[in-house]
Amino acid sequence: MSLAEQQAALARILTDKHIRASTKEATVHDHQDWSQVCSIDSEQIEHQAKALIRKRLGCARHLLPRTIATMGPQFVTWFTEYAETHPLAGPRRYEADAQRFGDLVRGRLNSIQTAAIKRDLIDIQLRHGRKRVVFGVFPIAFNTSPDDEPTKQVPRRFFIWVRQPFRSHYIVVRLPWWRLRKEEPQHTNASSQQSLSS
Amino acid sequence: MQSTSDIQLLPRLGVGIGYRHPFKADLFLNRSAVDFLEVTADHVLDGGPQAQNDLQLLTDHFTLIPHGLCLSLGSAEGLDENYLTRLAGLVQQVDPPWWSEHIAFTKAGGIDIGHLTPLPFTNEALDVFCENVSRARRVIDRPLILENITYHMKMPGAEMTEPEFLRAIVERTGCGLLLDVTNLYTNAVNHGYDLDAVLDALPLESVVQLHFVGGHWDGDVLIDSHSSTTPPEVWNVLQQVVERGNVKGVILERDEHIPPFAELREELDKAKNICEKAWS
Ligand SMILES: [Fe+2]
Repeated sequence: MSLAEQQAALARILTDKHIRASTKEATVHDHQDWSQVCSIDSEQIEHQAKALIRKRLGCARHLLPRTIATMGPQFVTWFTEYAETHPLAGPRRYEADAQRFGDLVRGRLNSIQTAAIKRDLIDIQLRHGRKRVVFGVFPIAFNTSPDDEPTKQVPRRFFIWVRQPFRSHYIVVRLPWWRLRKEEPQHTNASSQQSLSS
Repeated sequence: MQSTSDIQLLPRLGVGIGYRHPFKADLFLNRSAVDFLEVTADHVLDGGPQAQNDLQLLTDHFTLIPHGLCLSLGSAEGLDENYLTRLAGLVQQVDPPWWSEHIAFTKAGGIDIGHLTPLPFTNEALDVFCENVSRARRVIDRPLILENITYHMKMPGAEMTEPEFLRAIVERTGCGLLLDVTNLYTNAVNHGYDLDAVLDALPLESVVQLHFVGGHWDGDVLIDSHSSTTPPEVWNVLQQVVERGNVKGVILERDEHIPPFAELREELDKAKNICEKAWS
């Protein structure tokens, strides 16, 4: 086994716990490629893999401070679970790591934790020169007419929460003109006809 | 090519600290305690405009030493040329007396391991490492020093001991050593090495810079988590190396559980005392 093959095998073993488990079986089935790597004490490999996760956890701690504050010890458990099967990837890999972890766990978090992780991830984007990031969009004014059922009411204005480096601000926008035209004519015509007839 | 005599001519920088953003302001409030700074190259390369602004500010006030983490000088597949070019740009921008990297690999088979992984102490690994160092030095024309790492895995097939491996690297590349005394102590504890014998076998005359910090225990394994104050055993190794070698700079390398700066300053002052006694 050449050094390049040994290093590639080691990289796979160290970054994926399932492969570590199958490696043990591979020696049993006499897969020669794995044999030299497998001759490393499996406990030592586990310690090395743990060191790797610890390093990633340390970086995630710096990048996701609000998330940790809201998740507590659960953060370490979930991040370790995630990191054990997802190797680092891409440029700015630790930030990409935090982002992927965030995307994966978001569905399992409560609303406070979700807001925390969202803010942390936006801060990461702002660090990289994004001038502003939309934090959330909330409808605030609706087309209302007595005939409309509440579920059919169309939002006409939105409140957009924008975060910029060092500050947040809010802007209110109207629906795009084509949307307004599409939704409004019936009401306008109906009301003008009403006023004419009266 | 860099030679051992070039290393002897490097300037003496004193005692400094690995730069971390949380204590940026403290550095200026404690200016007299910090002779120089080490900046982690990857924090700047990956850190966006904010990190660039910090770098500019620090360059204006301190001597900076770029410290690489991910060049992966031990990779048998060779170096990532794109990363090497970016690193070269950083070194040029900072204009340091030297820069440093690790005796390890971090990338293989298309996987970014994200952590310093040990090389086997074999002639093949030595050839690969020296070839990569010479490639890096053709691109980055500044003295390079190389750091020993901690490892939990003992790689199979060793043809020499770790001190012999380090000595061979120094002799073949002409690079200096960045001796992490915490790593040295951690490996001695975890693998049962005789620390005095290791120190005797190392090329201490080629040590340019030191790293020191404390770790933590996980059961009966010592972890180099850079998370606590330096233990007495590490101070002892640091003192021995400073007295026996020709050290040019000493860096406190704290990463986790960063305490109030006053505590870091105590450690810096202690290291300064040791160095001043040895250098006087
Ligand atoms: Fe170090």
